[in-house]
Amino acid sequence: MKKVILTLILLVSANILVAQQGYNSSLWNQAPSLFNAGAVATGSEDYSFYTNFRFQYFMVEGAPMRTNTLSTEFKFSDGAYSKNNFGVGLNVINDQTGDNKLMTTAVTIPLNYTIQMDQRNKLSVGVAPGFYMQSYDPASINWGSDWTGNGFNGNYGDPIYINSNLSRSSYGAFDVNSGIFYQHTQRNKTRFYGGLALNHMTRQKIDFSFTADKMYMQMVVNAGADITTRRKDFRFQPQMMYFRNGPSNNLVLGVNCENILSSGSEITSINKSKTVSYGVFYRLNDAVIASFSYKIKNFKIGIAFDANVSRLSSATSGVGAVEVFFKSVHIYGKKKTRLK
Amino acid sequence: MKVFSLIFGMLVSISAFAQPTASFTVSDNVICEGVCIDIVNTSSNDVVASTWTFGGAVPSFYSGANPGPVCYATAGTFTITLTVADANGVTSASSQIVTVGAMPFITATAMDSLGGTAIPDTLINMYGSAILSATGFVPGDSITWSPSNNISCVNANCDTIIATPFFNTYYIITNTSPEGCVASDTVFVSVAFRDSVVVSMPNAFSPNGDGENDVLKVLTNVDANHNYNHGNMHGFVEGGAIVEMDLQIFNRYGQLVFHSTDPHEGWDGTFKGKALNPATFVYKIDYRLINGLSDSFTGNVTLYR
Repeated sequence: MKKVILTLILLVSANILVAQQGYNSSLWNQAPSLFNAGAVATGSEDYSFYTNFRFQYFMVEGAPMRTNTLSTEFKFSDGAYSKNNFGVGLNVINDQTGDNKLMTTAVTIPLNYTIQMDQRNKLSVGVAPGFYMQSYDPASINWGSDWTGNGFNGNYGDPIYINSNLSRSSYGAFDVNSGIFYQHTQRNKTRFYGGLALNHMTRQKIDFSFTADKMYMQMVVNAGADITTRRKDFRFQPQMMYFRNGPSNNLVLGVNCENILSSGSEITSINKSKTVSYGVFYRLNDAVIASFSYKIKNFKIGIAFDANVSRLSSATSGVGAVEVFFKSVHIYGKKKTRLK
Repeated sequence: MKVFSLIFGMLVSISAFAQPTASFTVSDNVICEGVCIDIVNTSSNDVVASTWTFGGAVPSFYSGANPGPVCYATAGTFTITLTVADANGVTSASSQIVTVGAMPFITATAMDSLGGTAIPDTLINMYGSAILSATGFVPGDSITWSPSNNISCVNANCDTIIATPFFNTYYIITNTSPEGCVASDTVFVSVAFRDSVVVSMPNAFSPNGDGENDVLKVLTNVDANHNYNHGNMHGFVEGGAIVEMDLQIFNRYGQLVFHSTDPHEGWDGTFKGKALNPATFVYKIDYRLINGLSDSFTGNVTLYR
């Protein structure tokens, strides 16, 4: 096992921070394993399902950006007497953008190992091999060279007007993501955590044309805390995420608050636990994000709204994106330990 | 020693008996009617009195070292004479010729047809033409029109032209005489715009260095010389119809990756000096056209490599 861990750490740390077409979500904190393979199955639940739909820039003329996400993860103990555990998951991200229907589909299988270092600290290391595909609709392309003075010559396939150097309209490539994730839990159940991920480590070729540039690697740093307050029914959760994709980068930070409306019944399950969460985040030089979620028993639904506050707001009328999610978290068997 | 004293005495005597020399400069010897010239007296050798005569000018006579401006109201060839004298009554005279050219005459007007009747400032349809004609040209004169694009001369001296302006234009005709005298007139041609100036953007570009669609540019149907294209040319990307522009392109993370106010400038797909991977970007363009109309639109564009 030590060899496995060492290999995973090396995979994560051996790359310089460089990094494009990355996962973009305002609800990143609901499923960190989507951008950090080390964060798989690091919650208190044994297994979970998560799905998300993001609808971005729909106030801009033309086709909006749509992102569908599916994530599931499972925790497996490393032996009956071990506090360490394995995590395995399946992530599917399908993203379609623009009038050309540029579609990106990434399917990864994140695997990680979590070491319970002591009573308070846990370190998880993960890797996520997968497959990365991109395609577009060549019939929808309007090149500048197709401009006729009063419109575009839509005669796709006409050798005069087609950009012959885009030799194909789809490609696929092997992809590897990786990450580490650290958690520290205090006696009062206040939890601090942080992670570092390097994605697209294979730097696969973007194979639309003979030039075939390599994809930038993506670095993601996330950190946060889940702070226990004096009020037992209120938790305070400051969070941040920074990523870098080649020349693009972004920082999102903010605070989420969680109100426990009902703790639920320990034994009878007659009274269901109910929690409402609301948060405000700021994506640097872009948007203010407001999020809201409601959890009843094991099921959670939520929504986020991006309000552009940058120069982009004149193009989007201030409406950056709307995002919704559904998540369910579970424990194995007949264990009745209530999920947080 | 005696020899040196003798030579020195002779030099002093020669100096004492040097005669005055009349000379002067004028600011211009070839001028036009109504123009004044400045004169500077450059006479030498103990001049104590200067007298001037100015043929055909005002003033015609002056006594003193430097006359003020001397003005010529009529065309012709005239002589300026300066006479100077020293204390001993010895005089010297100098003369210069001043040529005064007649002012040319020019008046321009729009015509209803070639060789037809003059009409007031004219209104033409977009892509139409106007006939502009001038009178006053005499052999030796030279005529120029401004602006000089989108016009063609009907005859050799170019006092009649066919103008096809794309937008409202003041045409200034300038007639220059051999003496450099200039007369001008203006005729206005207004263009009735139809709503046919088109501004657009491609939805894809491929900055891969193959020379095709490497740069994302605003598309119009008017080139930099305001030539209009009716839709029979490909790759007509010059932003000649755009007077002012503000183009902003953002990535999906809200970062401004390109900004330009130059309608002829394009985006090469880089950000912070690095080539971006294939992705879709959104943009907003605000613009004002040569016909005075302002508008804006948004959209998306995908970068391919």
